[in-house]
Formats: sequence, structure tokens, C-alpha cells
Amino acid sequence: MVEGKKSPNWNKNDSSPILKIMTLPIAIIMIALGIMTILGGHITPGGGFQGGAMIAGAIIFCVIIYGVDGSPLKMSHKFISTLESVGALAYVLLGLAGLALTGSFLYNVGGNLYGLVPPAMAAIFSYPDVTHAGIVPYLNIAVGLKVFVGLSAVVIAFSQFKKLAEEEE
Amino acid sequence: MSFANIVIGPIIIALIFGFIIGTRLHLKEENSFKFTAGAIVALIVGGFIMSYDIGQFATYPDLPIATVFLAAVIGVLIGSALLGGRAKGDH
Repeated sequence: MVEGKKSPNWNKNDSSPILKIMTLPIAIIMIALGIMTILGGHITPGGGFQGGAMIAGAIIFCVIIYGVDGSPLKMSHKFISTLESVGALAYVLLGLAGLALTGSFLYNVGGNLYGLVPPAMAAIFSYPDVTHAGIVPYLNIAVGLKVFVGLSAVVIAFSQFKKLAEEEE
Repeated sequence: MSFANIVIGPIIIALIFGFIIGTRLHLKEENSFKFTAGAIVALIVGGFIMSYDIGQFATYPDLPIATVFLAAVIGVLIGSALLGGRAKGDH
């Protein structure tokens, strides 16, 4: 690093008390808004990526204010890899369901606009709300999981570089 | 607009999603965020007010409050209360 330049130290817990008290409730509300954005992706603006980024924003907020070690939102490597895998697998499996049943990858099996799937099979993949959007909300949930843990992992990794550099010195 | 028309599917999914994230929320740690029982009650009351201001999704004919938002807040708090104490980060 260039001498004289200061970079934020995310391993220290030296924020003001106002920030420390207010950040956690705001982070919980941001998480809830992110979940709402993901689940409303098929009827309102937003979707999996936007909602996942909002949830990751809450985690980044906590990491910046409380420091990496003191953050109340603790993300383990196992948790991150599990959610990332579940999100990716769910997306691919939903796509393969369409491929297996109709010959088209990511065919909306639950919505079944072209009537290619038996109604009993369509009922399995149907989303339980008034819009009958089929697999689209499930795809949003899968993308939301992937984006939420992906962005969080990037920021947590970046926040560790300074700590690693200090340990090496 | 009544409880009879309530759309239960997204509420359950929001509860599960919130629960998963809440399991990583470690509130009992001796730290500076002072998240006491009073703060949890304040958060739930604030969540109700926010959900009324946000309003329900378009086309959902049930309640005038954002049920998914409220379910997510409650899911996070339940997840934290049940499993959050065991949360350990790698960082």
C-alpha cells in the first residue's frame, strides 16, 4: 500500500454508539425488505438479484459498522457454500424439469401456458398465490439465495485481506 | 379484504427464508449492539407500522399490510432465537 494513504480497518470495532445501536435493527429490516423483493419479483419491480443484493447489503452494513469479528451476522464457509449450491442446483433442476417434461429447458412447468404438461404435474410446480406464476418465483428464490451469499462472500473475503496482510508482517 | 382470502404460500416461504438468515444472527454475543427484549418488541411494532405503510402486493386480495415483509421479520427473529446462539462465523 502507498505510504500515507489510509484504508478502512474492518477488523476494528471503533464505530460510534449511535451507529452500533441503530445498525442491527436496520439490517433486519433490510433483510425483510430483500425477502419481500425476492418474493414479489413476479408481480412487482425487483426479483432474485435485487432482493439478494439488498440482503447482502444488510450483511455488509453490519460488517462495516461492527467489524468483521464483532458482526452479529456470522456467515460460515459451510453456510455460504451450502446456500450457493442449493440456489444453483434449484435453478438447474427447475430448468431440467421443463426439459424432461416438454423438451424445452426452463419451460414454465407450473404456469403451463401452452398446455404441454399434464395438469397434475403442473399443480406440483405451481406457485401458491393468486397470480399462478408457475416456476418464476421459485427461480427468483434460487437466484436470490445465490446472489445473497455470493455478494456477502465477496465482501467478507475483501475484509479479510488486510487482516491477512497484518498477520504476514 | 379479509382473512378468508389470505395468500398463505408467500408467507410460509418468507418465514422459511427469514428463518434461514436468522440462524446466522447471533444476538447474545457480548457486544455493543444492545439488542435487548425491548428492542425486539420495538422492531416488531415498527415492522407492523412499516408493513402497513408498504402495503400488500398488487393482485393479492387479502390484507392491507405487507404480510410477506412481516413474516420475514418474524422469521429472522425466530431463527435467531432458536438457532442463532450457535452461529459461528469463519471470519
